[in-house]
Amino acid sequence: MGGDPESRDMPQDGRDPHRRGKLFLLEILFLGFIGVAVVLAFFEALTYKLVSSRTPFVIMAPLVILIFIHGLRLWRIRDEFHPGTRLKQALSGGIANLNSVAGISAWMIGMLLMILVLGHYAGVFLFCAILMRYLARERWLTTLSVAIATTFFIFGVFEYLFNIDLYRGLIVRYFLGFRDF
Amino acid sequence: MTIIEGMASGFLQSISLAVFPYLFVGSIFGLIIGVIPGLSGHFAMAMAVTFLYQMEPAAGIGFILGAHATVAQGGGLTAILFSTPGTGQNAATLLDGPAMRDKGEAGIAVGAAMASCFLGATFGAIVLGLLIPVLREVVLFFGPPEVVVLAFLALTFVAVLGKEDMTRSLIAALLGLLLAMIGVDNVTNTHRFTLGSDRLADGLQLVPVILGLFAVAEMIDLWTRGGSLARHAPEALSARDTQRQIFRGIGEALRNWWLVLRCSAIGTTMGLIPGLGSAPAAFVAYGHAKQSSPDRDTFGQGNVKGVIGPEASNDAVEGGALASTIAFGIPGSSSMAILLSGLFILGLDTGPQMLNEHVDIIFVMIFTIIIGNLIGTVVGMFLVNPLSRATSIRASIMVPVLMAVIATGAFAGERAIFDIGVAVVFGILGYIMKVLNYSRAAMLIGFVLGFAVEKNLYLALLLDGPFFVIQPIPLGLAVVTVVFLAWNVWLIIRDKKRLIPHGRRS
Repeated sequence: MGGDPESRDMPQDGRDPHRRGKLFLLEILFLGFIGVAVVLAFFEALTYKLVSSRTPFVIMAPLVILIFIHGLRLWRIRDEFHPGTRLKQALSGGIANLNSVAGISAWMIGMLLMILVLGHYAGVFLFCAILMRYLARERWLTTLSVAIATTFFIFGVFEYLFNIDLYRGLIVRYFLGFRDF
Repeated sequence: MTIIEGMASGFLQSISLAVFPYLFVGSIFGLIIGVIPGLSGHFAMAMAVTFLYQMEPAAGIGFILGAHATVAQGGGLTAILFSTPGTGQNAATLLDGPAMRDKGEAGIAVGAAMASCFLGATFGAIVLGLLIPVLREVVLFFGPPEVVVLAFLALTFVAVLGKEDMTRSLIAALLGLLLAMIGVDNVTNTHRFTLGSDRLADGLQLVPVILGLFAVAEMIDLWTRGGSLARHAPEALSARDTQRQIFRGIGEALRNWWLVLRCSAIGTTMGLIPGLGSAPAAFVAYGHAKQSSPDRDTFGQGNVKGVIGPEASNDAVEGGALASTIAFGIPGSSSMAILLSGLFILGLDTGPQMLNEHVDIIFVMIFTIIIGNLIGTVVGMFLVNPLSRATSIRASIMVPVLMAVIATGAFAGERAIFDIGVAVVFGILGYIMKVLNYSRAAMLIGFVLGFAVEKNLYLALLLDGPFFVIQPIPLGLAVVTVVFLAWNVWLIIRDKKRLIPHGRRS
């Protein structure tokens, strides 16, 4: 509520100027993304019947105003953070933390694809193994024992205890005769 | 069902073989999660939600609330032993807990913290039980118009009183509400914001959204921080000395029963107000303990009352927070929003129906909080050293394992790979929100309330027309909302004006 108004313009954990600069750029991108998404949703809602679009409009009207106000706050302090330079640095892979986040996020998407193609058990096993062995440089013994134990734990709890059939993957489903994926 | 019948049934269910094992496992799970810095009560509950699908309502409630009940106890343990609060709500314990440890009284601090948690939680649970008859009457005054305005009031409180920036939190809350609009509109059958996807026709499922915002986001954070979760290796305590000190600590908590009672009352009262949460309650309780103590000069140097006050308060919050969640279906914190989602998964509805027809379930919650905390206290008493070792598990091992469980949990609800994708997307979104100081709690509460807001807004307009808001209760609530928001905006503008001339002078 009260407190230092300057600190309101930047995330509170961004005391270090370099980190503040990176977070400023991230927030510009984030706010820009949701701003565009909300504006598109607004125009989309115009095509609905009033009964269906009423509540979204009630939500979107103040949301657009708030995004605009916050965007304006960020715009006023843009010179302090050199967003253009930061963007170039980020795109050239010069921000270690961003690389790490992008790496783990990419592997999560990779896990999703592995589950889709190879099935749930193979997908989570490979995900655990790749993360531990190749990204975190754990020993093979640790990697394999944890990956195997995790896969068995998931089988035991979900498939055996809760009777939930986990996804078998496109390949297995194909050989089982499924053609509708 | 009368309250006495509900109480008896709730108690018998809580200790039955169909519920107690789940409650026990949930409590141990919460304790371990609480011990690990970086993993919060939200994480424990989000993870617990993934296991609810095949459970009976009482067992599910025992599991999820058991997990939530003991998180603060585990967090208190690490705050004292490693100067690292396992969860945000234990931050106030840092003021005196580590100082006691440095004086060689770690066991006393742990014992006092565990016992205070248990006593505080029991106080909050009893208050919740006593509030049931009152809530039964009050809830009858709350129809669709009142619920709509109350939802906006709760969201405003969460956004303004939360630790994050107000504008960012309001954006997050409204985004949450907007996300709840995705899917087929029940009234006109219109596909809204589905991007042509059949999967989105049913809207975004709660579980993958919760898992993404609170579990996947934490995993990304842990992975990027890397290393061991506890920065410093624990100094092992001698088992016999530890036990002796822990029992002395429990004795200290009991000896300071009046302080426990007052701090618990602070916690429960603050729990009733949406958005405040347990961290502020713990600091207020610490301030009260210090102010009301004759030896206030020793606070900050290892005074046991500085541990008892905050720990009693942060667990007593749950009783108050549960009251508004159960009665009006309006969660005041992210934990309560996750609990509410858990109740939906278990096929339970809040409001008058629960207060009148499922009183036994409310008492299962009450006894779960009490028994869960008792389990946490007993286990914590005897397993301090093994529990403290959980902090040394490396993020490089924990993240892949937990991510595998999270992905499976996201899939399990609708048996849909799509939901794993939703969890991943919301995980990335949640991480960005976390680092940028946007309130994930406000977004989740907005998302959970979105369904109720739309349904009740439709009914309010149908029943009372566009001027439904000028009825006495909605008008009162709306005035409180506007005045509260305006007051906080004015405070910001005033602070800014004060800073600018000061800045020019310098």
